Amino acid sequence: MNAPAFLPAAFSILLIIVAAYALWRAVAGPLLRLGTHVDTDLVLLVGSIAGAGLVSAWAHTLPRTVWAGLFAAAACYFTARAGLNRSKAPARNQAIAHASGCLVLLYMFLAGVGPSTLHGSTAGQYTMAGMPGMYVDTTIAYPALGLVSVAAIAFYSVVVVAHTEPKAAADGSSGFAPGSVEACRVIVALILAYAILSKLV
Amino acid sequence: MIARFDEGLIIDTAVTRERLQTALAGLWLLDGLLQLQPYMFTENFADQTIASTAQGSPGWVGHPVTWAAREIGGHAIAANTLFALIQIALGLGIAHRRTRRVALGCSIVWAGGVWLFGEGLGGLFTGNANPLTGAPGSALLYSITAILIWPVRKCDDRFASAGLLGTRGARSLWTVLWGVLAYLTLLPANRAPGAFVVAMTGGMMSVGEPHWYTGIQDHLARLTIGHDTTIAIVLALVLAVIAVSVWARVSAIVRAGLAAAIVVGLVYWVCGQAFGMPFMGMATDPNSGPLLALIALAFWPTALTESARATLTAPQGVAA
Repeated sequence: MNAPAFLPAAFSILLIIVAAYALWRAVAGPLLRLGTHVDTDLVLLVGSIAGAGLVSAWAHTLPRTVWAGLFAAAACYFTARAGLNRSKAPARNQAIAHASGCLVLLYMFLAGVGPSTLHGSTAGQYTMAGMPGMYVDTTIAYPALGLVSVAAIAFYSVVVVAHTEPKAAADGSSGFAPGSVEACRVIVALILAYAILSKLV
Repeated sequence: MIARFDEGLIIDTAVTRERLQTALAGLWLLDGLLQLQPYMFTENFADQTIASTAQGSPGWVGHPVTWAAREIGGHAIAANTLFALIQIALGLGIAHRRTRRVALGCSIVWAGGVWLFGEGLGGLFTGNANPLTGAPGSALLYSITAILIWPVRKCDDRFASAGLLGTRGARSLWTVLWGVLAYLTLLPANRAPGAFVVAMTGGMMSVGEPHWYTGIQDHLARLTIGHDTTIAIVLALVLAVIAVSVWARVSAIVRAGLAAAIVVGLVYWVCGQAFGMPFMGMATDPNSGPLLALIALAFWPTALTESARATLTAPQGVAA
């Protein structure tokens, strides 16, 4: 089955907007000395571009193997960063979050998450029971791992939202839209969860 | 672990109302994501998922469900998009401090509507509602959880859920909930020969599941053959003890009862609910198991630190 066409299209556009915003932050931040976090912006940028291709065929960019290799390397890099910063909680937690995000994307590329291969939408139609194998559309490998990722994404997202306000106040940060980065992270995470769920059957 | 309670009181516990609220928010967000699955946008969602809950229910329960199924089926895409957005908004709203109260209030109303129109009151009036498979309905448990962990300004309570209803009210609600579960376990349909096998492996429960999990389920289900009545009676007794355990004066007994409740919730979830059956792409929520465990955590006794005790007894204004 596949969702109504407007849904993946809207999600892909949203991811491209997030990517554009992350690119702007990554470029403008150091130039204007705005105190941005380059790691976070680059992960958002690359993750959004890769995610958009997983949701809509028209947003496809690099081959899956290239993306998988890239996120595997990034996951190793951030895991090492987390190890090096194990005594510094904020830096360690941030590295763990980035590593986890890269691992989820790696899983998605290896498990076969991608745009629907069905012609036309099944939305609004009466179909047979939603059982695997009854549709021509491809499904993901290791769905249990995918569902665990979806649950983790949901709870990670609410934790990010729950901590957004107090953290900004406590840091006394200049306000170069730190909340918007958190919002972007949540948006990307939720769309990745949608991409996994949409390929279960 | 030292954690900050709603309005600044320091409680020596890992179970705070704020963490429970975040957990509830996560469940709502997960529900919203599940609602975005392609199956939900088809007419099957209304016909097979919603309308089927009216089967066996009296007319006053069945008619609203049938009406809702007809309306949703007629506007499948718009209705489901709205449902998903509402549930995602509830999850994010409960998570965020500024919108928490409003979102929790809305979640009570929304879950109440889902319980009536989408779950047929959890099948309570069908004569075969089984807690093992999710009765009395996860939507009802969402409402109960929201009421129990409602944010309150003053918290002179000894557990996280004693805010809005007070200690006695919250304990009474707990006793009624687990008493109902005990009663439902003893329904003739739930202790009949083969009842546990059907509940644990029947229908389309195993569709799409990993083989290792289906194997575990089948094995456990076979162990119940010929012992349905005995298991039902023992389980009902355990549930009855859990129901009254929160009234015990000894903290260890309360903790034991709550630990048993968490175990029962997880056993229901793994053995009877198949994690909410998400492998078919038709799950709307993780079912009642996680919510029963969450409610039990909300009753976990809190040990006040000396500073918190002083804060509680200090005149207002000093606390800040």
